[in-house]
Amino acid sequence: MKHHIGVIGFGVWGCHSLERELLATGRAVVDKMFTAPELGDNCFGENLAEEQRRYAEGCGATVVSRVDEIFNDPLIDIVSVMTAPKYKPAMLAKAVAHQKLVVTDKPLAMSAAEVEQLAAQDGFDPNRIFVLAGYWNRPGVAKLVEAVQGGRLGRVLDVTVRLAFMGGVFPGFVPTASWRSEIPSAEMTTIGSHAILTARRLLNTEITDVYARRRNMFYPEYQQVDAEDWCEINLRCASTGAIGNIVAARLPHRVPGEDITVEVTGERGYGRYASGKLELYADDTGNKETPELPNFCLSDTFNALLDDWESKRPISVNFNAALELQKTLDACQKSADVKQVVHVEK
Amino acid sequence: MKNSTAKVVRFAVVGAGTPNIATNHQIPGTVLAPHAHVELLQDIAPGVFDYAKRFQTRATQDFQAVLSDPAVDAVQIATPDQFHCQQAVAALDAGKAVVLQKPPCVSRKELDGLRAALDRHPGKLQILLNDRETPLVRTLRRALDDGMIGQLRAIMLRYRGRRFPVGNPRSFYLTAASGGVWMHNALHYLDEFYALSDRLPRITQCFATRNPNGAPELLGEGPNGFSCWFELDGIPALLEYNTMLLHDGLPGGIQRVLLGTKGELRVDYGETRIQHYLAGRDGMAVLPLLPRVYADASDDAVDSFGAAIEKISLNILNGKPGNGLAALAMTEALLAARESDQNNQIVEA
Repeated sequence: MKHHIGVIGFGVWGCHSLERELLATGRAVVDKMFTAPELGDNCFGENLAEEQRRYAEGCGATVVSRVDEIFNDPLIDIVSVMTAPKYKPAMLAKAVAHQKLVVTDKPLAMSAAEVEQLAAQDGFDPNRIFVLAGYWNRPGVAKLVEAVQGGRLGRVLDVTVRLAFMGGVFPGFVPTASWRSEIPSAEMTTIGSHAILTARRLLNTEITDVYARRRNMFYPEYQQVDAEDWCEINLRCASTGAIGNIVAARLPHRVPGEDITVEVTGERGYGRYASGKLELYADDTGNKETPELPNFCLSDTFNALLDDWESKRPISVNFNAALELQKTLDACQKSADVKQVVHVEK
Repeated sequence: MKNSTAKVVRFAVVGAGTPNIATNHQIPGTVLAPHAHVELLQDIAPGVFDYAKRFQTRATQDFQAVLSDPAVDAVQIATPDQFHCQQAVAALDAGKAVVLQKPPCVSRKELDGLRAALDRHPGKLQILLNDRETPLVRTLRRALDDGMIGQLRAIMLRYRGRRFPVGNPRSFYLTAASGGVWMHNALHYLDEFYALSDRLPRITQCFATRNPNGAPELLGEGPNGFSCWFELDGIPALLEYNTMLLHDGLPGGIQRVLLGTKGELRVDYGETRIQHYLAGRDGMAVLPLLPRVYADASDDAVDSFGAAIEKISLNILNGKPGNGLAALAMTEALLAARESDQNNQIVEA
């Protein structure tokens, strides 16, 4: 079965991992592309139309002048929504209403309230939205999640996540005031969302309280538009007593081989994933396991998505998970604003 | 090496009758410090006389005798935590300079008492915090001073492992009143933050938890896992104190991470190797550790105690106040962390 993709919001983020990875599965083609200034600030160069034309040519797609040409195309079954969060809910609603499978990245909107409004629409199907968020599918993290969900670490008590995008500001990206106004927060959203969702999977229960701080540590160009390049978060889960902390940042330097770093402590063991290696002490034995980990390939995630979609199974990071993430982000944002511990709204 | 003509501080060491930190490290460190002299040992345990023989000094079992001994300039208090505050106040009021093992106290009430005593005897109280004198922490500080990561932006210290075992089930150290292993040990790590940043914690936010699945000697009352953020005047400092790895075979150690505007210094769990990452440079460099202060120190602990005692001695001899006020501020931050967890809010100092 060949899937057909319509892309909405070219140029907002410059990179298009969603459709690129879908294409890498060999199970999909891009048919149409659409973008417009009202979908988000273009932060990657001046000649958007030319860049879009070149990109479309590269994947054999057509640039269309109206977004409805994507929604109304019966051949297109997947819509990649890459708009800024401020403009995303409207596109998500339309895509779902047109019975499309939506692939998008986090977050779904500027606030959880907007996401809940989306969910309240007649006929809204949460299983039509796939959100690319979290490092839960990295093989080492996935093994840890598996150990947690299998009860091998016992009740989870503490989760630590460090996630840094390294090597400075993303090449070609120019932070602007309008970009900043179209996202809930800067790296707390962009990087922090991945870390929060990963921590949430490992905590294996809802996060109830957060303490967060946003800071400008490294880049004057971020500071000029009031965009943080660092956030620190403390977490608590009232139902289990678990705690956790997150550091998410865009660092000027690189640590070779480092991806996400995760530690999990449970009543019956401990696990750590760092520098691509997993150490697992499970089942109250004190024995160390160092499982071989397969190479991570993002297209595997999309293959799994298509498998789930074609088999009508629930998809891995769906609307509900994204809504919970957005509520946690809201609480983090509020905590950073009031500089106090904040309860995550149910 | 001692200089026989140098002016020295004549110390009594209180709590020197059993094998403990004082007899294993602190007294040997004091012996190494050029401006310190071990004048007298005290403990209610008769073993104090054996230690006096070993360190070629005098001994007594009577604490009051220490306070009234004119040959004693200063008292090092190395007794169990629950005696620190009251003995320190007694020694200060007896006119002695006081060098107190951490923690200086275990409650707000005791902290108030110590601060009042320090008001009565300004500059006479110092807290013995030797971690900052280890080759590792001194090397990190040197690297910061040399600008190796630009301006310091954040510090993260993560401890994973378990607490020291306490065999006596009625021990004070297992009670909630002791503040547990948090109050007993965490001041060292806050002092590392202070040593590396020259800043004291002003805001504290902490969540704590407890792993109950362990042997009684590793548990005690209260939480045994802490995730705490301290605000050091604009520099965030994470202290994750995780003593919940209770089963035999689980790993231990400390990870230290310093982030700066140009790079990172990192010491991973169980290592003393300092990794240095720099913006614009591929790969990692390893920084050589500074040597011990005393070439004849038997280990890093004795060396660091000796270096700390030497600085304290020079402060006493030169009439400098030392770290008393700062250490009490850090102790307040530790108490604030417990309150922050209990009240689910930040605590400002």
